[in-house]
Amino acid sequence: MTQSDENISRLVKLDDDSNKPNKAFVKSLINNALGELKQLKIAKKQEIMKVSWWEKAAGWAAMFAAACGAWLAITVSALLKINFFLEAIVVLTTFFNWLTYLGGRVL
Amino acid sequence: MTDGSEQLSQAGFAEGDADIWRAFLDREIPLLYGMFMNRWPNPSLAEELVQKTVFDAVRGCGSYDPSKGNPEEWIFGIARNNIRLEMRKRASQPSVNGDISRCLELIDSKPLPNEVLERKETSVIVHSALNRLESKEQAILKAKYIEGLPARDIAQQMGVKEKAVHNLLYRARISLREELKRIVSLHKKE
Repeated sequence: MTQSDENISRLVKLDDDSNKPNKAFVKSLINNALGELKQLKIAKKQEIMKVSWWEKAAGWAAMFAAACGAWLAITVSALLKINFFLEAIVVLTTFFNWLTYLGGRVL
Repeated sequence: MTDGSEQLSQAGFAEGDADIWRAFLDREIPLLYGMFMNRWPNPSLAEELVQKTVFDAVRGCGSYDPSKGNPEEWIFGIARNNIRLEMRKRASQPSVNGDISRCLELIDSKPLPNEVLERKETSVIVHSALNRLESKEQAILKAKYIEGLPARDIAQQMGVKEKAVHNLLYRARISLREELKRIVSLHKKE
């Protein structure tokens, strides 16, 4: 549309006394607005899906970290228990060795 | 509308439900147009501002809060804000100072200022220029610009081919431009 056509269009519209927008304008505006609304909804959905992908990844990472932590706790506690038994065995062995030694001396 | 269904409709509005928005826009666009026309009697500007208001509302529908009022009040708030922006824009532009004939002479090269379009004198000039055109030319200009019909629909209405509509429209625009220049030069002589 040239400048002249644009101006002619604006001038001719002045001859309309109805004080109402024309039907074609209303129809086209509604369709364009609904199209924009649909686009915004799609963009919003895509954003949510993007966020949930990150959330999923973070969830899996947290689960893996929790499993590693549990495994570590169980292993350490088992090792500590083993350590306690080993210490007990050492103490008992020493005690019996002393008993054997003292018994040998007495008899 | 009951309170429950009103709340449901407001929730649908905030979520961008297409059916609710279609009914809402169908109801509000004529009201918004009337509001802008009352402020500035300029159909092109009113259409521009209605369009801006509707798109502002669509883009900001996520920020609509039903507790602050109904959707009608909300969109009229946006419209009032657009009026304020337009007033601010006008305040920064130079005034035409009554010389509308100079502006009408330059319609081929420069956009007509809104101030010129809103003068009663301009409407009178356009009306008399249109009245001096042939009835077919008048009809085609009104169908195209006032009713906003596409060339195909005008062709159906007039019972001619689409190409003939384009030719007639072209001739009608030239005739109107010449009539406008003639009337403006007569005004100047007076």
